[in-house]
Amino acid sequence: MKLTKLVLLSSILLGLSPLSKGQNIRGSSHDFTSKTQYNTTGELCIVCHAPHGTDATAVPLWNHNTTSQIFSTYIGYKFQGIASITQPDGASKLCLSCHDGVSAINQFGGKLQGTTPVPMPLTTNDRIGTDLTNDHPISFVYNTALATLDGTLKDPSTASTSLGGTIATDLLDVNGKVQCPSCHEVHDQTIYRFGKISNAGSALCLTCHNK
Amino acid sequence: MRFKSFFIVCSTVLGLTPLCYGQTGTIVGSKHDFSLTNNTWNFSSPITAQLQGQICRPCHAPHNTNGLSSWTQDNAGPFGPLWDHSLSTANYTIYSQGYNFWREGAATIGSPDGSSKLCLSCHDGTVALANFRTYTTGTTTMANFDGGAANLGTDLSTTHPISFTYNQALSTTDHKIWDPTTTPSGVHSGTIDGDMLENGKVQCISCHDAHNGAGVTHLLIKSNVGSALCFTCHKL
Repeated sequence: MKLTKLVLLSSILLGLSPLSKGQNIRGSSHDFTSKTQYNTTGELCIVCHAPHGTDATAVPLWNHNTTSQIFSTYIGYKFQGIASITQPDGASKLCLSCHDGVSAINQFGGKLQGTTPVPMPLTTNDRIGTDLTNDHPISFVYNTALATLDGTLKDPSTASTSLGGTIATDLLDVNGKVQCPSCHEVHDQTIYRFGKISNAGSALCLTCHNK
Repeated sequence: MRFKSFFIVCSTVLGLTPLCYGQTGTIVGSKHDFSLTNNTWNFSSPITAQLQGQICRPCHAPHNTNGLSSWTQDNAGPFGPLWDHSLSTANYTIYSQGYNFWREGAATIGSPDGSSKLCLSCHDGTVALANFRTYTTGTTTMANFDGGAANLGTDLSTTHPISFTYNQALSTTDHKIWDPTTTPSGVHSGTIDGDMLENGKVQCISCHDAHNGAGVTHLLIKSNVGSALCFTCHKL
């Protein structure tokens, strides 16, 4: 049998191997398996999710403590159509349960894991903090009406994304809101900074912004 | 290359032989070994005497199970292999957490069915552990056994959904789960559908082996170190 055939056949068979799966959270900054000082089970997901006994107020199957911080929210004078940005809600609040820089990363499963609270370090760029006035607004409804008022935003119900659908189906949450996961794919670090879409050429920005 | 050597090479590389998935655990000495004298199941007399050191008896019996004579209530239908423990009659709050973003879920979750009802006949906390056949004097339920550590209760809204169909169509709608008909389970030599689903549905037994076949913590069907069990289905 020739080598090419062998490779071909092996590849076909290898396609059945678990090793061939995407493993994009594994090895990423969100892979907590090496944090043995507070993650003693060796499980990756457990810091954020659990199969049983999770927080009824957060989805899906949320196992981490949810932040109780009051945030300073974005006030952009040219941000039309929105009187004020509310406190972070939805998935963003879950992200901020670590990225607020106050909440302990190791507060999950209903208790502090380990002996000392480990908040996100002050020096890291990943720490958003509780002052969101200098961060892109989140937790606001982005709909056709807002696009019309603003004038430089695309209509989310019709404008397409590079993911195959519209802004509304691909980037907004089920309440039609912009949230952290509108730009970030928390489970996949393949694209720089957990990008949902590559921002080369600012393609992610220009998905919504009509500039 | 001859076929024989090709086969050897592939077998070595793939590690796909059934032997690789050999069952190494046993129910003996596990959390489900009901014969242990130190199990603190609190099977009150005379049930302890009736057990006669049997491991299986609270769940199964060799004769007259499944809906005969006085224990008709115990009939668990085709999913009850010689099932003999009293079933729960509880109504459950089912998982309805939904999802944050579109394309992250679309399954229709029903009330617990199939073999999950058997698990819940202890783990919902409403039926005494020692409530099988005519032995109904038990008072310890999962709610008050071991601090309720293994008690799910009847509110399943905060537990991973069960009793829903997980098929190729769902894996198309929800782009973060694998196609169960082609993705290997890593449990036995088959696919998710073949090794983990029950009539195409996710049930308790999709993740747990009540009989501790794999011999890993929480009676899981395979080790969850690195969340390997989660990632079997979740494309993350």
